[in-house]
Amino acid sequence: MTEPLSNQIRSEEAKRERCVDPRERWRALQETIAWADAQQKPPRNSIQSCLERQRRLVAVLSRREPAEIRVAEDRPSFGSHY
Amino acid sequence: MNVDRILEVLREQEVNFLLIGGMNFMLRHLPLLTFDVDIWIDDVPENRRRCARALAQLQAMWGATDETWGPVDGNRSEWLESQGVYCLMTPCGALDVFRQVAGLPSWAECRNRAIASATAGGIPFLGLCDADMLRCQYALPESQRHPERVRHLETLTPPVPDHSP
Repeated sequence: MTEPLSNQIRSEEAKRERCVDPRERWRALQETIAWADAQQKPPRNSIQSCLERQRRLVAVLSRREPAEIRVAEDRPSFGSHY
Repeated sequence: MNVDRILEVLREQEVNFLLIGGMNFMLRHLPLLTFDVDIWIDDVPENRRRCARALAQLQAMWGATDETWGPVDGNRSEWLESQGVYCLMTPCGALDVFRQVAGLPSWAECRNRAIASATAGGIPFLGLCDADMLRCQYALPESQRHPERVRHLETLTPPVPDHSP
């Protein structure tokens, strides 16, 4: 164990990325996201969380001036800012 | 990833370990996404043997080189003695096993002040305390630290000496 730990970690992670089937890695990542979401109380995709998120977004919109909203709507959209 | 299963098997095999890294932070503080489970094991022979049995049960894959990458089940008994950290893959997700962690005192000392917690699935685990999580971050070069994690931990813990390299 003479090599610095940070170098060992980097080379070990790189080796794992090379050796693991990308499809298997992607499946594991998706499951990680689902598992991590399930740890939240309440879960992000629960009705309660969705309504709470909607409430926050509506509150942000209602604070913006009507002209500001119109300008924003005229712009091409490349995705949500939220 | 089924982190519950990983933690469950480690407990079944009576591995003495602490949950460290992003998963420990995510479970105890903020939902910042992390892709690996990091554990720090008590680095004594009997515990390494228990850990090797747990990794075999989890059908973990690892190799000293790309050419020797494969199931750890058939490895010689002392395979967990060759280096400080092992990055493995299991059907339950990626798992990093640390025998040493930069910036921290002994495993036993950190174990004494570790925080007992549980996943939403009810699997109990011991995780590094907030001050030790912060010490781990300070031990990293600044470019490798997780700023959001550091900011959050700094608001929760009394000042920890910064031993930046």
